[in-house]
Amino acid sequence: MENASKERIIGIDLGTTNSLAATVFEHGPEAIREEGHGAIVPSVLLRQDGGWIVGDEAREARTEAPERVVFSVKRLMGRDYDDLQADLEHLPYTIRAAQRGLVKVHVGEEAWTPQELSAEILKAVKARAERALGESVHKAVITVPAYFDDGQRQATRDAGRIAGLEVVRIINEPTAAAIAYGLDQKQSGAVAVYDLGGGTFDISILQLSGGEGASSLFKVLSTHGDTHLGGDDFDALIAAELRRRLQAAHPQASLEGALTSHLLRKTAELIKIELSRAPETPYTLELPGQGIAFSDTFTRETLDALIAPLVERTLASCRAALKAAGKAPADVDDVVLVGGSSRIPLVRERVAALFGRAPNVAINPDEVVAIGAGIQGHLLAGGRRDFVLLDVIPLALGIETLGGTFSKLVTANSTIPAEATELFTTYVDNQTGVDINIFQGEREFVKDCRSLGRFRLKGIPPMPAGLPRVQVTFHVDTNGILNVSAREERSGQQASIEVIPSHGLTNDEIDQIMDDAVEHAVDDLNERQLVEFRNMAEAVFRGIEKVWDESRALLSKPQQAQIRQQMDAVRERSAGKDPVALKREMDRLGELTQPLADAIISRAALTELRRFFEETRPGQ
Amino acid sequence: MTAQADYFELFSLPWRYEIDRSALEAAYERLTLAHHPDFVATAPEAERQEAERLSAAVNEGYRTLSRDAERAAYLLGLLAGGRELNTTALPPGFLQKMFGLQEEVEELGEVSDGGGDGRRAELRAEAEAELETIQAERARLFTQAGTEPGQAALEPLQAIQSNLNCERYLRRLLDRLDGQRTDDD
Repeated sequence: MENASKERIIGIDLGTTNSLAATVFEHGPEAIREEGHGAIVPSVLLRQDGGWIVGDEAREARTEAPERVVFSVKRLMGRDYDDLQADLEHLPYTIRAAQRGLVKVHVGEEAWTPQELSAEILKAVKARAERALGESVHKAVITVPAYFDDGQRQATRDAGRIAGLEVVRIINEPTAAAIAYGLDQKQSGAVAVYDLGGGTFDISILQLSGGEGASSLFKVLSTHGDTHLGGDDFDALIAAELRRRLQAAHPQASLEGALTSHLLRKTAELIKIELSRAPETPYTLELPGQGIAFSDTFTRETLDALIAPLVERTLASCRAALKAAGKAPADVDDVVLVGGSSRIPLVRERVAALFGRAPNVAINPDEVVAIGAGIQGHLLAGGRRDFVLLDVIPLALGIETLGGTFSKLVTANSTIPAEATELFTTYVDNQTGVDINIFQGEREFVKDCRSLGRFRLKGIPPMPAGLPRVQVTFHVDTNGILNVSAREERSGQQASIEVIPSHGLTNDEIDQIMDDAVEHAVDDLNERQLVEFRNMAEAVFRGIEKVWDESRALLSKPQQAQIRQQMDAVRERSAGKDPVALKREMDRLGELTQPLADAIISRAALTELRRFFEETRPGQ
Repeated sequence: MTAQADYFELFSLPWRYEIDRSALEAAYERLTLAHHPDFVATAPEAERQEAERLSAAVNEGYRTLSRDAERAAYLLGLLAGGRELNTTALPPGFLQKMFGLQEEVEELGEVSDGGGDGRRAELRAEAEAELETIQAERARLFTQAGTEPGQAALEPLQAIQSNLNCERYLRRLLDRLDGQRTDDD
């Protein structure tokens, strides 16, 4: 390195199928290779003698000892058990739900979180880099798919921490590829990076500028993708076809069991790779235990027909990214292919057709992401200042508002770091805490978005309802990870924030969070419901007051009195601690005000129309 | 540069609705290179936090100034200088017109199998033409309002606010039309 006093920051591509590290040597950026091993560490783990073996040996063991082999861990990172239903049938190892919707992988009597397993892969990559470089490594830039959400990014960062690495930066895989490509080819203009890996797909549209000045700007205009689409899925489709053929030829054969599944998957993968070179390939499936040896031929035509729907999905993502970037396909000056699965002829064909140009395949799609991360590490270590990377947040970030609506605070494709502030107030007198539910996604209702966690503002000075003005700042940092801080404006007091993430952990954090949660579980639930119902009651009251003067003539005197009485009943319960009782009184109020609602239906229609047109945040 | 700094000042641009794009781009590049957290990645925590904050402000400023409607709303706030504008006001007849268009869009939404695509394209063209008229009108209104902070007469400012409200309605309508097309895919 140029400056020996700066500590090296290596780049690591933590992939679904393969992982590797790269750094900037004196002669330039390159993957870190160990004599006799090469650069790539297969992201496969084998449990043996109470420890983990990671890499080639674990990969080889897949057929002999499938019950002790774990792979494709990246698919589990930062995901709930519910999110993983589609994967469970493809992944032969045991995955069980753990606390708070988290998952654990079970091998024998023991169980691990995906973070811990990813950490083992990172340790193996780190160890190989240390042996090759002849120095110890403490810091790294780790890459993630651009379409990873906050929880998946946090999980990756936590895995690094568990592996004993300081994760200086999380960067997006297509962006890393663009750095390596852009600096290498001195390209400027609009570039599309199409990254189809083992388990994930990303498309990023970048504007590369500069060249003449001291520094180049790598500006991501938009990104789109699918964190569950990759070579693994192609393998699964081929394996299913093989199973079908084998069963048809040998109706009596038993094709259950992990061993057969592994055989089918492994053969499928070999067929896929071979079909990138040849139009057809022979294959043989042997089940010695059942005296079966089945030989057949697989054609590229069959493969194309199987994977075409998935390839079309990547093209839909490309169109969405282009639209968000305000570009037509013809505006793109170069299309760069990244990821092993981008070698598939159908993929290249379809991408070329969409963009109307032959894609750039001059760079090694397996190494370019790690190399870009290595270059970014070099910059972060202070080794250079010749470029800066401006990335975006892939999905909008926001909060839950009344009625379960998702209110976006930071929109998708905002350049990071990004910041938004929002004022919150209280709904009852002397309320000292406010709960804020944070979500990420592109849908209108929070039920369709991903929960990132609950933030509780505490220590608001006691004041009448509606008076406190708590300014909450949502900061998405250069890693694409959310940080929240808050301040009460009237008192100038810093309100404290308790973060209860829906995902993400380190061993210490999870212990602490779990202790906390058990202690407050019952209180929390009641309190949360109370706050929700109180808010609803306030909203209903405001609605009634708004129309009362001009519309009460439509009701009889006794009806009016009944409503007033019922409002008092709701108020009384609202001040209490029983959410169920409060809800009961509110339902009764709803019945009583029904005639009022009917009477003002024309007004409601107009309000509805306004709401439809209003953006969620008028005036901004 | 403080968190409350006015974005025009930050980007060395005058308080004008019409903007010099190349000056904006050049200033963005200069500010990014000056403040980006990547250049202080190994500095102490406080320095990194400051870079994160400044860089976020630069990004937000760039986004605000580079988008016409956002820049207009932002400049309007500066010109109003704390004076209240009616943020829901619309020109006479506009809401009724939108109501009509909206109803038709809703009805088209229930037509399946690509039916109604022709009418959708017409509606889209109509809304886009209306949007263009509104945007041209806005530039004229800003010229009328002048650029003296807090000095501009309230009337032209309110007219700009109504103009922006119209754009919001039209954008929602266009999004809705887009959404229907996506749903049909």
